[in-house]
Amino acid sequence: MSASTNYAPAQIDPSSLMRIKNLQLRAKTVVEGFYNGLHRSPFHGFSVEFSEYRPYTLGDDPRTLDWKLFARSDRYYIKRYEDETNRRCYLMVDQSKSMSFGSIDYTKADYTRTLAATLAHFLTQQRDAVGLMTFDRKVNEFIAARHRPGHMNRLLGSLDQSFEGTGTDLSEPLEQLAALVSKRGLIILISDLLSPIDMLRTRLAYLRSRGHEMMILRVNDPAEIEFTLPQAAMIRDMETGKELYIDPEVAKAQYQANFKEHETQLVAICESLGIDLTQLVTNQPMDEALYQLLSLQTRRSRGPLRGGSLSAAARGAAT
Amino acid sequence: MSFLAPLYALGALAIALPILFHLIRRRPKAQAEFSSLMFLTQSPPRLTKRSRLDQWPLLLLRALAILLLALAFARPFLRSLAQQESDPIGRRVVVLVDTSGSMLRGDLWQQAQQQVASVTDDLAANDQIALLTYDSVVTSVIGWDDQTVGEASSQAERIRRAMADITPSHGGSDLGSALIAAADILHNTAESIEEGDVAAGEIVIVSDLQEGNDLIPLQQYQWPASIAVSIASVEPAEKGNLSAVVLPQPVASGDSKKPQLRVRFHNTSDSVNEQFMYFWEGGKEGEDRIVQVPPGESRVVTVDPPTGTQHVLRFVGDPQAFDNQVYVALPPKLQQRVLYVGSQAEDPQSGLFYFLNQATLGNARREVAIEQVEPGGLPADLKPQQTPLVIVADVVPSAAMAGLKQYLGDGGHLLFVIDADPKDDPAIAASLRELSDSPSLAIEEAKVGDYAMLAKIDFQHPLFAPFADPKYNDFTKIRFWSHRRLTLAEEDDWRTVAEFDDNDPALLELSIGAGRLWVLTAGWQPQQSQLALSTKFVPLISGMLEQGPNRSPLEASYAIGSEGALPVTPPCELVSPDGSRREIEADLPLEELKQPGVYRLIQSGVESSFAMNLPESESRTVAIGADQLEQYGLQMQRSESAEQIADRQRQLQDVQLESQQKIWQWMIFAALGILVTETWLGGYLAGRKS
Repeated sequence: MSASTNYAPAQIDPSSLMRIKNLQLRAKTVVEGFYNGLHRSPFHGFSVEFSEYRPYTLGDDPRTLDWKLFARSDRYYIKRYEDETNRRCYLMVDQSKSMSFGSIDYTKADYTRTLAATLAHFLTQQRDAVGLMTFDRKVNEFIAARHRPGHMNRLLGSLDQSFEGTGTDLSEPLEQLAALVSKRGLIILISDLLSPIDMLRTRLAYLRSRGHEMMILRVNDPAEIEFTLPQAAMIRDMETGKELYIDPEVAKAQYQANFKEHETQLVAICESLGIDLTQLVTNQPMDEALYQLLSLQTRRSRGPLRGGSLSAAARGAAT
Repeated sequence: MSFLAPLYALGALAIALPILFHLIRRRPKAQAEFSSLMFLTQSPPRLTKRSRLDQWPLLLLRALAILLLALAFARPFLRSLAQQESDPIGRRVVVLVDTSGSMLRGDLWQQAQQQVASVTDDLAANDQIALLTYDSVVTSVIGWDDQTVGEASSQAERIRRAMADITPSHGGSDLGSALIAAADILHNTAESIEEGDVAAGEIVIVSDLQEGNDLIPLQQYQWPASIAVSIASVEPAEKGNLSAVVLPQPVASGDSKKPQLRVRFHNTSDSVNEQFMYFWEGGKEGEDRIVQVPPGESRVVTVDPPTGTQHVLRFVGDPQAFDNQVYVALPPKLQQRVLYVGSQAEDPQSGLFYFLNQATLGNARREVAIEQVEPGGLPADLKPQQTPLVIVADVVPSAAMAGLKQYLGDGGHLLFVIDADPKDDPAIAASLRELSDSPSLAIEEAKVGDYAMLAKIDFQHPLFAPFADPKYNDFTKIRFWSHRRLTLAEEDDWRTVAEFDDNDPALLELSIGAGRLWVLTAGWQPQQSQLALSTKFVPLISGMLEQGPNRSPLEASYAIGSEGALPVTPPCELVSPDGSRREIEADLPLEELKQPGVYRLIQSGVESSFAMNLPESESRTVAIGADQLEQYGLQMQRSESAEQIADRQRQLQDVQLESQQKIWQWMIFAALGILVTETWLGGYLAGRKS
């Protein structure tokens, strides 16, 4: 299957979506709406994808010989196909306090929850095994990747739980995930990434070095990007509880500069590590995330990242 | 507009505060939450641009309230308005001029007149001045009522003329009472002018402030804080003074029995001389005596007076001549007798006369002989001058009755003692009836249980007045074993002087002609009562004698201006030292006798004399300082330059204007009104905003 971006996306207004109370229904609505724009079925293809021919050498399983080609060319060739094994996909959902912020009708946490449910639904429908890890400063809940009936309900139940998170610290959850997930898979990190950059680089590089594919969905509130506070006020940090007097007019330029700088550093890290970074704003439709997921799968068909780029990324992390 | 306290106007700078607060974007009370402050730093409250000032009406109201409060504290007043009004009252000055004897020294009086003139010269147009003089009494020469405001020149002229007419007296100086009188005048005037008109008064003392000034009255006086005292002192060219006083009790010299006088000389501490010479005026050559008195000390010398009744002792060597003579009166002793009319008792100690004869009735001015006569032997021509008191204790024969009545009519004093039961001698009642012309008078023996005491005593009566003091007015120790009851008609003029505790009269008095008849209803001998043995007896009989005619001066010498009165029985003539004579109708107050010298009192042809001298305190001429006055709480005025005085005057006037106009009150009211409006407007705007 080749990913094409030449289609008109069936966008669903997120605020309308959020009015749907049931999380599963919400996820279905997104995924099926997404399918409405696709003309290709997701249910076919991966398992019959041809990979390569290779000459037979001693020790190869004779069952893999292409007898038809032997008949035509009288040579032994081994025909290899793409691995038919379903993927293991882990959703890392940030449940820190800062995710409770929302300047519109719903918070980033609501959006993230819906997004995670949507992706889980989508991946389940692709018969992939989906796991879930929720975290704030530490790992709150870990559900191993499975593909079996009822697993989806468990994921949705876990996502649907209200949480009282604390601050964001990505380093420990990422470390734990690396320890918990031994098989390579796809790790989708859904977070606002409002945490210091330095440790993030090390942990992401570590995950990538273990062969995991990574995709980061960065969720931000529009107010966080534009810094649109209504009036001067005592602003309280949702994670630390620290209070500052902020006059939006005065602080806006500085905030935006700092935010941009943080974003730039993040993009640089992701590029160097080959991590797919998608910026999502909570007032935008969630389809974008699905597109990015599909495009990632497309890129994956081009083969794994070369080692040189990984080592370069690791060097960047070290510096 | 002017301000009384302009520094308070600086408080108007506080007007910057509301403007600043309006300019400051307020640190909001509202809180907001944000996902993360990692991209933010604290932004301080800042001043917005002037164009961003909002809530103009509130700002204006707040600023106006602060401005009004600041101005109100600065106590504004309108000078122009005041000039349109009637002129305010200026300073009130009381000039207190010492006219006591010590002011007779040298040119002190001229200095005093100059000092008063300089005070009046400094008067402003709206000042008020009063002139008081004082020696032992305070005299108001010119009071507030004697002048009109705005006539400064005429005030000065009036004071100057008044001063020209005043001369110092020979009296003592009671500065304390004078200051109190002056302060009261100022204080009462300040209260009566207008409430809040706090213009302080000033007292200017023109005096030599000699230490003999009496300041004791100030001890019990709370000096008003608003009244200042300044001293325009006068000083003699030469200091030091010797004074002499003749001590009251003459001494008898050993041989001749001729009385000698003791004279105490006192030299003031600032004196430079210590050797003086004294002599009797008109004495012989060579009788001068020298006395050594070191400065600050006293000497008592005994001198032989010359023969005669009045003398002047003079001394020289003292620069201050005003008190260099002492007048001495040495009148001959009066020869008087008290006549006792009664029979000689068989046992003398049971009779009245025995105890009467023991009483010492004479003193330095008189000799009293007590004689007894039988009722039948009563002399027909009793003269009150020679026999001021007749005591009758028996039945008076009819033949003698006319003589006694004549005696009473001439001013004689008669004591009728009923010391026996009238049943034993009924004629007693008849005698008394005839003597007193009281036909209804009846006497009977009173029934006395154990004893009777004097209960109701008229201490106002001259006989008992000396006993009025609580130390002496206990008569309960005098017990009467028996007494008589006198029944009188109601219309009779008898006066009950003392009563027994059973309501029977003990001592009665009846005026007959110029004389008096007393009736004592009990005897004083021990069989009758304890009266004769008590300490009250001699003063009582002596009092009856003193009440009689020819009452003489009590002392031989008085200080000029001292309190009290000379007992006088008209007709009487007073001969002053300068030879002038005048008739005296009643007791003579000593204050009227202002001239030093020997006075003669002629009553019923008998002459008595007494001397008036300068008070001893006037001779203590060492000047006291203002600090001694301050010890009594007086607010002393410091010497000021003309500019300072003018400045103080202006301040005083400002205070008066401000207190009259009270603009600050209106400003406070206005500020309160504005604050109420501001509160309402603020609430309204906040409500609208929310």
